[in-house]
Amino acid sequence: MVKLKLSLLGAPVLGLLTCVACGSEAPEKGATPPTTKETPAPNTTTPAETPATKEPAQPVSASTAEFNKRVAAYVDLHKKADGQVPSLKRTDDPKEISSREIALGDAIRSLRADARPGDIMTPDIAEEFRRLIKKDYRTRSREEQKIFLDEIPPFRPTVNQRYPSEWPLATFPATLLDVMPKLPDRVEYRLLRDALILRDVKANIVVDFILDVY
Amino acid sequence: MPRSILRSVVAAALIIGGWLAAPIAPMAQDLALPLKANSVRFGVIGDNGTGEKAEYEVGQQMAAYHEKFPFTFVIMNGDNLYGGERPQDFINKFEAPYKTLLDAKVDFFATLGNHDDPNQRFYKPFNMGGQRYYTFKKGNARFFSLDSNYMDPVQIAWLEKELKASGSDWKIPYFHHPLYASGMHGSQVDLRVILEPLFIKYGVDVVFAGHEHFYQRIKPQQGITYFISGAAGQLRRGDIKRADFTAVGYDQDQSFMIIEIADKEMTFQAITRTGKTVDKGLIVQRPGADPIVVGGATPASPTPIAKPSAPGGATSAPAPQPPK
Repeated sequence: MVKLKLSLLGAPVLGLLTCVACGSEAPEKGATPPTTKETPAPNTTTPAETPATKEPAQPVSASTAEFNKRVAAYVDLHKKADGQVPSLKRTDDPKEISSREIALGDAIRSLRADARPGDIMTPDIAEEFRRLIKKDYRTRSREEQKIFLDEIPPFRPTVNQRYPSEWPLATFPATLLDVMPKLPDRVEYRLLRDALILRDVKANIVVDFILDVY
Repeated sequence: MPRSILRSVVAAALIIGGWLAAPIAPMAQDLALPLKANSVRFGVIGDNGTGEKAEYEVGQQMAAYHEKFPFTFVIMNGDNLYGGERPQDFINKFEAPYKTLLDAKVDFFATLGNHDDPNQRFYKPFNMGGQRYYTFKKGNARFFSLDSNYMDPVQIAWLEKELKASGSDWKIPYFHHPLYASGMHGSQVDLRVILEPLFIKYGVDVVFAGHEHFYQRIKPQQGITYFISGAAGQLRRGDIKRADFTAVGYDQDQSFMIIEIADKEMTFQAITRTGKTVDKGLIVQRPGADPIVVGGATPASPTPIAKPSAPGGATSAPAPQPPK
C-alpha cells in the first residue's frame, strides 16, 4: 500500500512563502490567451496574468541564498542572450520554434563558454540537494523507486549541452519540488539517472548539474 | 476465347483489383452520444504523437466520427510528439494524422507530456497561448490544462485560484500523469496528494489523463470519475492489471474518446481505431451530491488480467525501454 504523504498537503503553501527566486516571465509578445471560438471566455486567464502571491519571505540558509543569487545572475545572462536573437513567440511554423530555440542556446553558450559544473549549484547547496533527494527517494517503496528510475533518462550531462530531444523530460516529483528552492520560470530542475540538472526551459540546455543524487 | 470477352474480363479484373487496393475510408460504426442542441462536443486523445500508421488510423477514425458527431475541439493528454521535435515531426506526428480535422477547423488544446519539449507551447495549433498550463471555456464547461511534469507551488496556487473563480457547471482538468492507473507506470500518488483535495474542494467531476498506453475508466473516487485515454498512437497491449478501482479497461488496440456535455449531463464513448466502441456511458450531476455514473459497454475483447495490485498503489513495471 502506498503511503500517502498527507503531511505534505500544506507544503505548496509553505513553498510559496519561502519563494525568494520566483519570477513570472513576461507574456510573450503577440501571445494571446487561448479562448474559445464558440463561447466568449471573459475570465480566461493564463499564468502570466496571475498576480504573484505577496507573502513575507522566510529566512533562508546561506547556501540557498547563494544559490538564488547565482540563479538570478544566470537569468540576467539568459535575458541578455534572449535580446540578441529573435525571440521565441507563438507561431504556426515549427521551423521558427526549432531555429529560435537553437539560436538562444547558442547565444547563451557563447556568453558562458567557460561555465563549469558547480558554478551555480556550489558544493554547499549540492549537498543540501543530495540530502533532500535521497530523503525523498528513500521514503518510496522499492516498487515506487523502480518505477521512478525506469522513467528517468540515463544520459550523462555536460554543462551547456542541448537536452537531447530523443529522451523524455522525466517528471519531477511534486512533493520534492515543494521542498527545493523555488526557481524563476526560465529555469527548472530535472532528474537524470544519477544526476540533478538545472535546465533552461526556453533554450533547452543543461545549465548546471550535480551527480550522485540518489 | 474471343478477344472482346478477354478484354472484358481483364477490364473487370482491373476494376475489382483497383477497388480492393484502394484505401477504404473508415466508417463510424456506432454513435452512443445524443447529439443534443447546443451541447459541448469534443474529442480526447493522448500519447498520440508517434507518426506511425496506428496514429494515422486513429486520426482517420476520428474524422469518420466527426462526420456523425461534429465535435469542435480535441483535448490532448500529452506526449504530443515522440522522439524528436524537428519541424517535420510537427507535420508527420500531428498535422498529417489530423489533417481532415484541422481542415474542418477543429481546434486542438494540448497539454505537456514527459516526451514533450515545453516549447511546444509556442506552436499555435496546440492553442496553449505560450503557457505551460492554461484554462479555457467552452459553453458551460471550463477546462484546465495542467503541466503534471512539473507541478510546482506556483502552478498549484494558479490552479486553486482558477478553480475557485470558475462558475462553470463542469470543471474539467486534464494532464498527462494519471492519479489512478493500473498499468506499467501506476497511480501517480505524489500528484494525487496535491491535486485531489483541490478537485474535491472545488467540485470537479471528471478528469482526463494519459501516460498509460491504454483506455481506462476509474470508478468514481470521492465523486470524481477519472479517465485515461493514452492510446491514440502508442499501445501497451495487455498492460492493464487487476485493480479494484477499474470500471472499464481496454488495452488491445489504439483508441480515442468523444464526449458530449449538455447541461448537467456528460455522455462519453471510447472507440478503437477500427471503430469499435469499448466503453460508453453517462455522468449526471446532482445538486449537493456526487454525480451518478451510468456506463459500461463490454470491451470488444476481454482485457487480460496480469496480476493484482493494491487500489491506488503503484504496480510493477518491466525493464526500462529505450525512448520512442
